[in-house]
Amino acid sequence: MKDMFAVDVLLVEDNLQDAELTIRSLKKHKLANNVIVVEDGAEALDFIFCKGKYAERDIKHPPRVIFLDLKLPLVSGLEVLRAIKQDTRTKSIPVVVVTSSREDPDVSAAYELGANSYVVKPVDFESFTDSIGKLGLYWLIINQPPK
Amino acid sequence: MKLRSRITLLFALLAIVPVIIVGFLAYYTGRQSIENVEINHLVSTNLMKSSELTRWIEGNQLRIEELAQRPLVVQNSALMATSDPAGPAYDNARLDLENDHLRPRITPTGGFIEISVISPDSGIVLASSDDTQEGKYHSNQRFYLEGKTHTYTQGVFYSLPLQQTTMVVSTPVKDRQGKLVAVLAGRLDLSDLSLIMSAQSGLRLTEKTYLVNKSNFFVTEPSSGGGYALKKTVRTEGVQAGLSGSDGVGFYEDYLKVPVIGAYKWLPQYNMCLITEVDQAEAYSRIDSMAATMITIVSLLALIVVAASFLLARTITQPLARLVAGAAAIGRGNLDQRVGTAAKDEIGELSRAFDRMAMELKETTVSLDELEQRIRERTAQLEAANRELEAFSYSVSHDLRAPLRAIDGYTRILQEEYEQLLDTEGKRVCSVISESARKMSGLIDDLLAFSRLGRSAINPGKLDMEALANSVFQDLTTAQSRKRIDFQVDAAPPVMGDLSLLRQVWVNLISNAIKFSSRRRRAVIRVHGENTEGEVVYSVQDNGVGFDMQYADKLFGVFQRLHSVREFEGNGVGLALVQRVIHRHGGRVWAEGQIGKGATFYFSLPRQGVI
Repeated sequence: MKDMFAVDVLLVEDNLQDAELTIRSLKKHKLANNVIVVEDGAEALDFIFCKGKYAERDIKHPPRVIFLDLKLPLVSGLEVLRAIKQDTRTKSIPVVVVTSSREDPDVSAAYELGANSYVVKPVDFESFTDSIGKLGLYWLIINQPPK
Repeated sequence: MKLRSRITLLFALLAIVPVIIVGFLAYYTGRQSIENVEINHLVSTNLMKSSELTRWIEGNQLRIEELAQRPLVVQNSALMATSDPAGPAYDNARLDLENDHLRPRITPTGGFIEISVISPDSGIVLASSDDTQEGKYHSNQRFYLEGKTHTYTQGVFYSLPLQQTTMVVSTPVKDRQGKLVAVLAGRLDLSDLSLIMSAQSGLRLTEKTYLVNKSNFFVTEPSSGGGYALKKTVRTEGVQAGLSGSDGVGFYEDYLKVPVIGAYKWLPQYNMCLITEVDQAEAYSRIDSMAATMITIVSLLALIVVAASFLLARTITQPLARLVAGAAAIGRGNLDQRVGTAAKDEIGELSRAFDRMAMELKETTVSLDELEQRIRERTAQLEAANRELEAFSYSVSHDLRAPLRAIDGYTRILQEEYEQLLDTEGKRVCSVISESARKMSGLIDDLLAFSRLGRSAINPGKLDMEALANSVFQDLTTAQSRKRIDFQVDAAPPVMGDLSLLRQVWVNLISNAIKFSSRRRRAVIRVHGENTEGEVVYSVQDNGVGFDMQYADKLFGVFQRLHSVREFEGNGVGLALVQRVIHRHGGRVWAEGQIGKGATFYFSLPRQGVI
């Protein structure tokens, strides 16, 4: 397990191929220093709020950005998003909703709950790599998080 | 007026009026016959009384005549007439007359009060049963003058010498030679007359008979008494009529102001009027009591009739009232209200007809409710299906794309990171895999667009189809490509429809026209529209590759293609989408074409807005 206290990216993704392609894309842009992948919403919440197997984590060290898929087992992406944005300790964490479909009926719901960005994963790998690279570049380097 | 009151009143009138008329007639007839009976009775009473009067007078005349014929009376009278009044013979004769003949004829009950022997020469009273009368003169009295020749009765008159009203019977006293020697005059006791007159002749309590003389004085005491005889006058209608010399009957008020029926009879020989009267109240008492009974019966009858007709009216109006109440209840929406009765009359039939109507109305209403319920259920089902479809579309786009992304992604990794290990064929296979994955992604996108366009709600508005077609053409082409396309919109009437959906229709049809005419050196595209009966028909014509009409029915199917992808790219969704949108607007689509000569695609929209 990687260092749980200095996480750059929390990737919430149940599709392991997608997760791997995402990590590869970040690596390609030399941005994947510290990426944590969780496969379902419940685990995501545990990580963010330092519960369960992440109980030793300190909530005062949040990930710099969360890539959140909406379609997740156990707890849906929207539930995770709501939990993050309702809690004063976590609501300042940037959350990028990354999903497979333009058809997602929850796009507007995601924005209303406070998603910082909404990105559709392109099927074309080149476009995919490009999108992920730009996202990482923006959120990890260009964007200035609150102190 | 309410029907019930009218029926009640009508029946009451019908029943009571004839009874009243019959009752009145009966009363009138009864009264009439009673009057006849009364009148007959009064007239016969008068006759009887007058004959009794005559008999009484005749009896007294006989008595005085008998006296006059006594030899001693003749002798003594003659003696007194001829002898010296101062001589003893005169006195003897007088005493003889008075004691033996005159006084014995004076009886305390009835008959004569006083009998005088009057001188035929001087009219002086020679002898009398009453000494006080001697010496009085009657020389000018009628009874005296008449009495010289024959027996005479002077009716009731006022005698100055007697200072009273009286009635006198006189007769001549003649000797054997027929020479008049004296006049014998007897004053009659009028109370006898009263008794005769007032004697009741029948059962009538108020009947009275009395005599009235020429001077309107009562001659006899009426049965009511009171000392009227010869002291009071009477001037009633009957009396006046009788005194005027006629016999008859009348209805008038008697001397006591009581209404009576009276019969009057003039007695010329006595200068008197005989009156018999009976109170009307008594005469009519029987008929009046009959009338009272009748009024009671009529009143009772009226009450019974009113009650009966009221009940009858109620049996008529009560079902009507129920009908009215029922109708009102049904009007308020209570369709379970029933007003029917088993009555076999018209109202019963009406009430049953009313029930049938309410029942049918209820059935109709119920079926309407059911229909609405079914529509609601169907709508709910449709909405549920729509939601499911959306979820399905989402799943399809999400879950079908993820593996595609993996296929493409890992193929790329293979191509990039294991390039040295792949020969030319290996690299070609990898690119085919990538290409297929991208193509499938495109198919998914088109399918989702088709599904989305078919589902989204229609927002109708008035559309300028000419401007819309032109603007779509501009969007689809570049200045460069427009050079080789002859595009023209002939006419396109405006229509009601959803802007974004119909825009998509134009996009698909015009882009198809451009695509399939792209091999022509000079593409000709004509857009046309015209109003026909009830709808507007639009068409897009091109001079492209056209199609075989035997496949025309496959044109509008999803994923149906008449050309290979190598010839013309496309997924076979465009025309299916056109058909779907037009059908949702209540219109039709069809196409005409010929291979190598081009194709014309038509669609129609209803002129009255959209469905």
